[in-house]
Amino acid sequence: MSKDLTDFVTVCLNGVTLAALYFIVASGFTLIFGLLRTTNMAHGAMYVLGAYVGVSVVAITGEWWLGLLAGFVLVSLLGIAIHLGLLAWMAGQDLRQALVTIGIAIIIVDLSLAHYGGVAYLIPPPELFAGAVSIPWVVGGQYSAFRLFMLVLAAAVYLALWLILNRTRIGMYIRAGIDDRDMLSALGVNVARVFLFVFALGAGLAGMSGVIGATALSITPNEDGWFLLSSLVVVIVGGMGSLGGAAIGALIIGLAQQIGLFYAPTYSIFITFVIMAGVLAVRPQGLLGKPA
Amino acid sequence: MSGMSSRMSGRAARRAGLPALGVALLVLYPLVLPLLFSANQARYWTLSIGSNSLILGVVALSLIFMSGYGGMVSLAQASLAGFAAYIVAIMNLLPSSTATGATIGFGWPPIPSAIVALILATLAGALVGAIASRSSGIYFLMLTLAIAVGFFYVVLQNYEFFGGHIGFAQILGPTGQPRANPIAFYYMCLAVAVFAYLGLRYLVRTQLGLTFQAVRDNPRRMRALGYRVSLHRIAIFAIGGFVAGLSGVLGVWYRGNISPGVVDLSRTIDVLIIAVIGGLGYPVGAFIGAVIFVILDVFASSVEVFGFSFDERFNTLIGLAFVVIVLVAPHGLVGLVDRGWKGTKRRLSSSRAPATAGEAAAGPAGDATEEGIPAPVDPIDQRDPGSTGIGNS
Repeated sequence: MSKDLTDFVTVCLNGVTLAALYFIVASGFTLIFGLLRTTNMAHGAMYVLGAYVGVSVVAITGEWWLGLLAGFVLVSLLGIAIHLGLLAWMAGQDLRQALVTIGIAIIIVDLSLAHYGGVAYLIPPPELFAGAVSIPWVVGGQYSAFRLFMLVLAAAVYLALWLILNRTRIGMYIRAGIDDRDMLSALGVNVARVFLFVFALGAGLAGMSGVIGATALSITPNEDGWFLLSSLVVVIVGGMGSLGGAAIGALIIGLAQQIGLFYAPTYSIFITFVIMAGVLAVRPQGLLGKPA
Repeated sequence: MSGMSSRMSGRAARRAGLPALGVALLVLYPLVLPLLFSANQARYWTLSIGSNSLILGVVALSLIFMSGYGGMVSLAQASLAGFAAYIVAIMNLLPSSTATGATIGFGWPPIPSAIVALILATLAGALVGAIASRSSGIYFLMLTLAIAVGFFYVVLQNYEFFGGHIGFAQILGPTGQPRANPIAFYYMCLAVAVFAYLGLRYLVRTQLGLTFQAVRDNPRRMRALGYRVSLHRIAIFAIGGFVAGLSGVLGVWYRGNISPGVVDLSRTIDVLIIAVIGGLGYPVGAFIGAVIFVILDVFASSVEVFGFSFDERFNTLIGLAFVVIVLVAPHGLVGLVDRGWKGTKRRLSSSRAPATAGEAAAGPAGDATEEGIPAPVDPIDQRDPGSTGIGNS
């Protein structure tokens, strides 16, 4: 194996594992947008909050899985509060909802900064995935077990969401609601409750991905912009409201960023935007999105 | 009939008088300050409050123009301003080598540098428009946000052109150090702000401006009539880029330096906050929002609510203020006053039917022609027409 090739394989593996994280973050964003048409501008802030919940819970209990669960549950409770307290009152006014979530994001990030300070935190991975595993063709012959585990997590999230959407009653309502909200309501389904469920689920996914991200990378309060941007770009490329689109978009963006970072470091973000502009030029609705 | 026309002209005179009064007050502002404060404080109020508000007001004005007359809430305006600021720095600085060894800087005087910056900001605006005009509504917000955040990371990572995380320093405007000559700097800002405000007010009455509004109100019909809708949207963006560029040029002269922090997400959001506090549908709201924002920024440290000091927590304060404004006054403070005034008038006049929700939502467009200035429409009133085909695969 030449060095060039092992470099390339490693970079691609970094890209795919990063894509796994992006997918989990963006899946919540795209679910919320697909059904509620709410642009949750606080999605990046919810990621940050989930990460800090994970930091604290893992520090106290020493149990990574408990941190993951706490990140999901607490942020989804916050999501419920935001939805019931603010967003449900302005249903259909999408700009106003986006503005309110921007305000919430500012507050969440600022209070996180107040409590945790500007230093970076890293959550120790669960013991099972703490070390490195030997795999062929990568630089040094070893690769972080946790980053590989992220692939499993992303697949699990995809499968779980697919099952919820396609095999449960509420999933049926969600799919119907994405196609025609008013008709679903006319059929006697309590749409408000379905909306609440989806918002809580999407927020919880953001919180959970924060715990995963803080374990694989690290967390500082100003990370929210980066993950809001990633979610936006992933769903713009993949298509709003589409789970498969989020997966494809995450793969493209994750790979493009890592390959760009390795081969043209000062232009890596630029490449991401060329891809986004290119997709929009050919398919304004995103790769798997239906035309608006 | 004659009574009516005299009332109309009286109202027109009052409406023309109000901006003139505002400008007169703004002209007098730095001259009065030394009478009230010490020299140091007067300089502070001239620069940090006065000039700063005008600079922020101009960039918020570009956002309000685009949202009110183009129906597009662009979050890329702070980035376009920052882009112009970077170009001023690059043109203005003497050739020097950057961290990567590339040589950058042209050593041009301030004014030619600013002209180049404004041309490039206009073109950059058009480019953003070309990308973003393919989407609409809330997608548009997301897309311009993505471009804005992306631009921040581009300048942060790129050392060859943008100087990376350090940026550029020691950039002087035509009036020299703002601190050395605050009143000259203030008047330059005021002149630019008045030029931008009146220029846009004039523009929206021209054929082109009216076409912009027609495209905003019914793009499909305009397309059917043979207008090139996306070209008009790109033109709106180019104009928005130019106005944002004006603010960026003033901003870099004000600070004397430029770094990625000036185009980060919080700056983007600041511009939106200013526009929303003032009122997305009211051009004058840009400046009112900017003054409120700057004063909140300065005096946040002395605000205390239930023993909780906002000293270090300006962002929490501004976030709360923002949420409250969006909740109780979605048309901003100018909208609150304007609509409150109209509502009172309506209730007092018995000849007119009470305002319906629909009429209220139609907003200032209702009396668009009475003063000859077409009123902008606040996009916050636009409702989602229903779920349209965003599906799960």
